[in-house]
Amino acid sequence: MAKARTRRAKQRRVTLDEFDRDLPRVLLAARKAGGVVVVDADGNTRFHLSIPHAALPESRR
Amino acid sequence: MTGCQFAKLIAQRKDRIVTATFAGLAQEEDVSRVFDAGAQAQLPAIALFTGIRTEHALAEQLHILARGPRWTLTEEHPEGLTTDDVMVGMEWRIRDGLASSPMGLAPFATMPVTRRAPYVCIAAWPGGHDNPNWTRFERGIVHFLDTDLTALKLTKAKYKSLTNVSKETTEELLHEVGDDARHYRRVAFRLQASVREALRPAFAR
Repeated sequence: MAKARTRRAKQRRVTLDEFDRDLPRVLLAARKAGGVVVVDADGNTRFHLSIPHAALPESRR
Repeated sequence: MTGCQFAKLIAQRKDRIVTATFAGLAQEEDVSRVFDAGAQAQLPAIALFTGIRTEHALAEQLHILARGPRWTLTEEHPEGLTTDDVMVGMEWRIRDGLASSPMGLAPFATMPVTRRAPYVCIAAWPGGHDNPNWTRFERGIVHFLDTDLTALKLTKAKYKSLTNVSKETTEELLHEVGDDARHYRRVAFRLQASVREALRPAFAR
């Protein structure tokens, strides 16, 4: 049996400052697989933002 | 399972929604950032709070939000409903003169069956009155009914039919447990009476 591919999508990191300064660019990154991790100036994660790009399977609606 | 047929259609689309996940209690300005992102993207926004497991933790989160300048929490008393439960109304200021009325979802038995979800969520339409089919809107406030549905390419007849099925399904789901959708027009969360004291300072006077 072939081994399933388990590679996780790359998550981009943006700071709160970048989020506030250039939201359109953050939204572009959020549309990519893995979304973006928003961090504070010390690198601590505040939240994960994404714009899911794939339709949900019927069972999850 | 909300009964909403529009939510089902939106779920089938790509780029359908802005979502943000908070692992612990969120700062008020961060939740506002998520809704601002939804406004900029012209998409509904959902904040998921995966670290909130109890109604008391949710009350703490709501208290944090209420301390911010853009959030207003109220205790609602829906007509015809006799209960000790706390009915929490919520508004988020989009800009001067316009607020959004977010919807709450949560995995608690006190929540109406159509608002139960695996995680606590606050979902909102952060745009304007962008649904041309919904003409009885309130001037200073937007709800999910105001969502821009242009991408769904619905005819007037299809819109009407989806509205009717949504109403019927929601009423049926709630009626089975003796509940009524009318109680939740302005209610984001229905919580147990024991969190009332914790929430009291958060409610607008």
